[in-house]
Amino acid sequence: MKPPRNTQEIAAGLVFAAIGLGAMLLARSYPFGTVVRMGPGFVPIMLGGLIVVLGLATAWQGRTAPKVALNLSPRPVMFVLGGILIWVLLIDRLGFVPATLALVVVAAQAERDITWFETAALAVALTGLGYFLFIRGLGIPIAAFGS
Amino acid sequence: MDLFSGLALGLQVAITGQALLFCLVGVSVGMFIGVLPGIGPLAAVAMTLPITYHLEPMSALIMLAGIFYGAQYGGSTASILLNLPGTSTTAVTALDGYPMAQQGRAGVALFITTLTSFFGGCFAIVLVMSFAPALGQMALKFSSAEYFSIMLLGLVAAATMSLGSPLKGLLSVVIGLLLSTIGMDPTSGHVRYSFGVLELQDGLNLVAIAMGLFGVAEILKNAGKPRDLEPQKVRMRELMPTRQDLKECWKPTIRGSVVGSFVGILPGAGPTLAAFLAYALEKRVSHQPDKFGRGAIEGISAPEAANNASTQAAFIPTLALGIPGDAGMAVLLGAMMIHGITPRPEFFTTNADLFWGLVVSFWIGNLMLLVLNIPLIGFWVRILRVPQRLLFPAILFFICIGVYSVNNSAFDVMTVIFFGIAGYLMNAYGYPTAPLLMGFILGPMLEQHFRRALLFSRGDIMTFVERPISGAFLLVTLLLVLSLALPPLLKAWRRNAPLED
Repeated sequence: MKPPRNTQEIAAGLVFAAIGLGAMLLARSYPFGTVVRMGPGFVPIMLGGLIVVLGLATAWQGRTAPKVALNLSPRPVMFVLGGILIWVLLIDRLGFVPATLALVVVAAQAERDITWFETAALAVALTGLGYFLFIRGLGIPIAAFGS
Repeated sequence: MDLFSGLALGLQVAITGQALLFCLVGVSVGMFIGVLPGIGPLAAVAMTLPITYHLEPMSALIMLAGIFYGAQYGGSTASILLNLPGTSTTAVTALDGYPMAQQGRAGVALFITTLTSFFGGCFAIVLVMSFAPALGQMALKFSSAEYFSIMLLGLVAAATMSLGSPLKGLLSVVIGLLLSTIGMDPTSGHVRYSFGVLELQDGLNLVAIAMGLFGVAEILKNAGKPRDLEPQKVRMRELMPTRQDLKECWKPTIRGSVVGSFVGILPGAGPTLAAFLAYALEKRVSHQPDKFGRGAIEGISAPEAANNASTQAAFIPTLALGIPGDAGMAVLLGAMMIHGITPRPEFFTTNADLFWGLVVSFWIGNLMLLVLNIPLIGFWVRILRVPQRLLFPAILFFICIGVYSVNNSAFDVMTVIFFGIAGYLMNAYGYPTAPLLMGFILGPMLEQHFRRALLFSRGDIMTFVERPISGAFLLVTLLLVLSLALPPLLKAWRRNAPLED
């Protein structure tokens, strides 16, 4: 009996193949050169082509592979990445202290069982530690408040 | 410089108050990170990178190197006590270490793994001392063709010898190579793949990619999952192994050290593979193979010797050729470059003090780890009880500030987010991420040597095959690919052949 088609493996391979194709198309505008004197476009075009081939090959090889549960969970992705994003947005605008407090408060929500007291204590402790270690101690040029 | 004057020089450099202090800081941080499941030595390097900017290169290097081999010691603690590897390199240790803990022999297992780790590390340091300068000497004759071929071998090895699909590993390497072309092409000055973003003209930041792929992606995988961390208590007097234990573990330790050193020297193959190979070898040579998986002392001593030997031996290609032995060494190499040290064959003569100082610091660091481990074992076990809900936000904070401080660039931290999600998805779909990092680090050198070799040979591609050393590297690469490609092809052919009749 034929095993069922593994769409997730095929899709992953095709996504990579598309990335390779995109890289090749973009690299067409760079001078290609000759084998002796390669232009900046030579290697990217070859790499893009290789990615297309390998992507198609993985899709083909994976088409009958037994399906593995992906096990993706949106909650940590949202809060962890959200926390970092807020830090990036605030660091040059409001400064180190607000950015770090916000990072910890948001990122801590990735864990369901953390209490508000723990979150607040952790945020204050890390901000304090970071301020004294990195800004006062190591002299990293970041403003504690403001830009 | 001969061995003894080298060692004398190294002692002078490494036994200063500052060098000893940073060695201790490095191995302690490494040990700490190693003990904690879910984050590896790569994240630890980013966290400590800002501290190293203000140090002279010697202290910085000693500390960063200490993190790497320190983590190998620490990783086995969680593997044995929780059946949860502290770092991926100690995953095999759990196979027999955890059963030992269940039989009430956790203390013995921890003691033995520390001892074999120490042995494996020391074994490989001797090799580093004797072979790295010799290899550097040999590499002085390397031209671009040789460099290209050995890097190709390293990348193919990294791709195919990671556990999982070799095809996916290769894809990961080539993606890394492509990412490394972003920014200004050093030969022509042409800017590639910048998408009009100013920051991309300088290329992507290595530390940011590493933190995304190995720091953030790991946290995304592990955060929010309830985990019951209740390691049993380990008391000092439970540590002592019996005479029988020691008798059973000394041969596997030596075999593991040899396997680990060999794997470590190969560019591209890292400690995880070394540990797996050493375990497989022990099972093969054992008179009682069914003992494995049920608390066999051979099953913990061989892989632990192997992963430590591999980590130390990986410094040979890293220092002598500038070609990292594995993803960890790749990040260390990046950190060295930030400090203005570029390892290459001349390193041993121009930076002899740095090389020998580093080697002597390996000895000191391994001794420190021995002391840190055995009397303080209770302390490390207690660290396992720190709840991860407090740990993860803290690690994220250190990643953010660490990456930001490299260039004072918020864009670099955005890169972390991108590679965090990319690494998370790649892991979920079974694509290894370590080869991508290898590809990214070696990419610029690979392209440069490829273009230069063909320029010198006037476009004759045979130059890579005709030069004997280069040809030998390519032959090994080819054999590696064939050994992986042939079995499935033959299987497919046999399956289809009867239908054609």
